[in-house]
Amino acid sequence: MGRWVFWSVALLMVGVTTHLGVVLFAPTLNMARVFDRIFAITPVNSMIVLDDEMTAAVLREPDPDTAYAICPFDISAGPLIVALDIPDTYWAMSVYSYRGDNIYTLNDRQSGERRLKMRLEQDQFIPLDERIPSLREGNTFIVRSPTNRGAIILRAFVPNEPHMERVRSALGRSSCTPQIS
Amino acid sequence: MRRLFDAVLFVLAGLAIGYYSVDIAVTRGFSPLIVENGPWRLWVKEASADADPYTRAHFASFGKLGLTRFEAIEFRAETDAAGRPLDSRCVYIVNGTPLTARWWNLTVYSPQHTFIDNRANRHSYNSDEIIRRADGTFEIVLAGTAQPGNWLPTGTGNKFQIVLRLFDPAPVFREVPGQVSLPTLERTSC
Repeated sequence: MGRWVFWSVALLMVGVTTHLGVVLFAPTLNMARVFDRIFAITPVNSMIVLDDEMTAAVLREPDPDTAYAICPFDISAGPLIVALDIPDTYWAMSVYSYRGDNIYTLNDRQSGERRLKMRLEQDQFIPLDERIPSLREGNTFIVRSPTNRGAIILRAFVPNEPHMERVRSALGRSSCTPQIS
Repeated sequence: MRRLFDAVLFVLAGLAIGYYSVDIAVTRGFSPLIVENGPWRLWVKEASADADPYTRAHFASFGKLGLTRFEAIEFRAETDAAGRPLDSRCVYIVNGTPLTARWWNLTVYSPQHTFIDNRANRHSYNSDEIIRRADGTFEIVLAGTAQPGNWLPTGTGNKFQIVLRLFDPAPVFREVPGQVSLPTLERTSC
């Protein structure tokens, strides 16, 4: 009897360890693979508008009524300046950390302006509860990323197919470039 | 030899228990990490920096870079109202009342989270293009073969899932997502 209890508990321990190991470590590995793929097929620190083929290659479970642009970033060498040109349709910008966390989102109504600048910079030494941005310096708002690598994704609503090119063209007016010091 | 066999069996059994429990918890989710509303399920902390490990594992399992609920709410259905898995060999009717958001859409995905190829090249209906009744309500037919009205093809691959996204939704969708009025999802034939 005691032997059965021992082995049952031991079996449960192996199960629990496996469970925790997968839940805690698999997301990091999976998201690293996602970003490796994004960095491999899109230029770093540069905004590109995604066509259908690129959308399918870069994003998982994309929205068919949304046009996308992406800027994979690496700010280890310095901040990134993102010039945003906001179209006259639903639009949202999301900043993702390397863990896949959406650390900052701004939509067209919240922005209040048609043209904005964002500076994305490192945030390694700031406590977690203070990491949520943003600060403003004139017309530039500052977002701090907890990881040096990640991605900025622009989304814009496409009410129907004939609007797609116009909306993609509007997304193409935004850019991201390393800050020149 | 017998001891080695027992040891291998023991480890394999432990791994199986671990992986099976992960699959259940991460694929299906559980309360309070998910909120259920009829056949619709919502992972409350999707894409959030303070997401729990299970939510994180769920979306990382298919590599999704999602939106937090402050920007968009994403309800997912893999079963009909009676709890039966959605099957492309059946016909389903989605009936809804106006949804309060900047815009919304309903999209069909394969179990692998990809679009389902179809001749109509249609994967979704959004709030701007959908044909509504005079009172603002709408009906969408989910079926493998062409249907009149708002038809969303479900292919021939048997299983599928649908995602209802509300962008910039009314606060009530964030506050009590389990109690808001969402479209019904009924199987009409099979």
